[in-house]
Amino acid sequence: MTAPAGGRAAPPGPELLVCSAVRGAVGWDRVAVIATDGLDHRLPLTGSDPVLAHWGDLQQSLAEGPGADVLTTGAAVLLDDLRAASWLWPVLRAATPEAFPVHSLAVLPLVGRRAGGVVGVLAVARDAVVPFTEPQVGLLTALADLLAAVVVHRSASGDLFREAGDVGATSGDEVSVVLGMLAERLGTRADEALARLRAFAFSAGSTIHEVARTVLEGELDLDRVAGPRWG
Amino acid sequence: MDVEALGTPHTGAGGDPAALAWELAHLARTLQTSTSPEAVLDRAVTMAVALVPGAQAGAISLVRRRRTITCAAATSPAARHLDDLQTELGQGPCLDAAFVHRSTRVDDLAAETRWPLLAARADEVGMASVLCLQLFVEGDDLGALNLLGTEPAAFTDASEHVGLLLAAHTAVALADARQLEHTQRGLLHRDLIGQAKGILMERHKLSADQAFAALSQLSQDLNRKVVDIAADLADTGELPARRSAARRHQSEAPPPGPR
Repeated sequence: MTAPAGGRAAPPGPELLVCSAVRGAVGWDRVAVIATDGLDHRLPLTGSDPVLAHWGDLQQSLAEGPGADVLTTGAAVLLDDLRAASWLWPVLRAATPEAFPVHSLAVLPLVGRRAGGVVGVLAVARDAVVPFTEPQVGLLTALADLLAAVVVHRSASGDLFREAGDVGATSGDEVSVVLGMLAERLGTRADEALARLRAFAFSAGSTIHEVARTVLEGELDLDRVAGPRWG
Repeated sequence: MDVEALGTPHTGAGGDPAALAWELAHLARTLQTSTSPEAVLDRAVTMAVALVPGAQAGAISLVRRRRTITCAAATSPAARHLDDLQTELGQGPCLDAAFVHRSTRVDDLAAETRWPLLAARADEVGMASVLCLQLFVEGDDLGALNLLGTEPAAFTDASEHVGLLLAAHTAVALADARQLEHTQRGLLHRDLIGQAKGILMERHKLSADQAFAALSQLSQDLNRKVVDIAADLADTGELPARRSAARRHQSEAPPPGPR
């Protein structure tokens, strides 16, 4: 797996600005906020740490990891030392590079306060083994509540997804674009295309996002991702 | 959807304030755990029919542009038919009074002078009394909880008070569920538009910008949302205009001869 190229330089959105305000009270090296309703539909919010966001991409590719567990169970995952707990996610462990800097990690669900559905995840990480304390987890829980309200509000106003309606090529939707291309070339539906994309990314030691970007940049032939055709 | 299958609460509140308070608290909790607007509406209308004195059927109606009424949940065909009649005739409590008043009571639909066309066809509904409760108003759009009773003057002041309490709970729960749905729908729409762009890029060798421009142009031409066109394309592999053209072509073509 390659490291994310150059990071994501976009200025922080409101969610990450809220995180900045709490950072001093909790203390972390990295933070990412993802709007999502499950593994298939996922939007890393601008200003998220590129290393954590990329690791989230990897979890989406493999359908495994602490973020995936949070979405499945609706409960937070707290890890004093990721390396000591990585046996929980063996495929993810195998795909994560040795140089991955994160040690202590907290991943919390963003839960719509009244209706109760998960609208995203908050991930905060420390590059040393410094476990999050109970009061710090309390603050993170309050932060997650606040972020959920911001995400729900910005979704309702349309701000969160405005890019999807207004922007053509640069809205960070490379995975879904390549799914459409693959579905068209294979004559299949998007779920079959996703299975092919996942399989190719896994065999290449990459993420579906990296593979999609490489295809769109013209550096990888779509036929290689499509794989053999039967019948 | 028809919600008769959902069942009704185990006890009617009748005139007992304590029982009513218990039922309303139960309703609030139930509605808050319903994560889709459809589930909120189904549960709310079922419980309203059970709790409001005089109610024998109910529906939740969504009005668009003060013209079209869509029945979002109903406990009986009669409640659904009242919505259809109001849309067809262009008059009825949901199309005017409910925009202004939190509660509109009709004691005898057949004798109602405010909506004479509707009154003339009241026998089709088979219910004499109507209690129309406002859920929300957003410009020319409205949501209303409509309750129906067989007998004339089936609804009393007590019915109205209980109905307004229920409507308030339902409106809050519905607003929450709609907000949550915005997030889920936004994520889905974003991916659908991306997939549609990919299909067009692959099919016509377009750039991402060109593919999006093509979707936008079609959206303007057909007066449909980009995401609806994208969903059609992702689902069927065809653009809506092409489907229409194909149908026209088919209908104009001579029937196939013997092989």
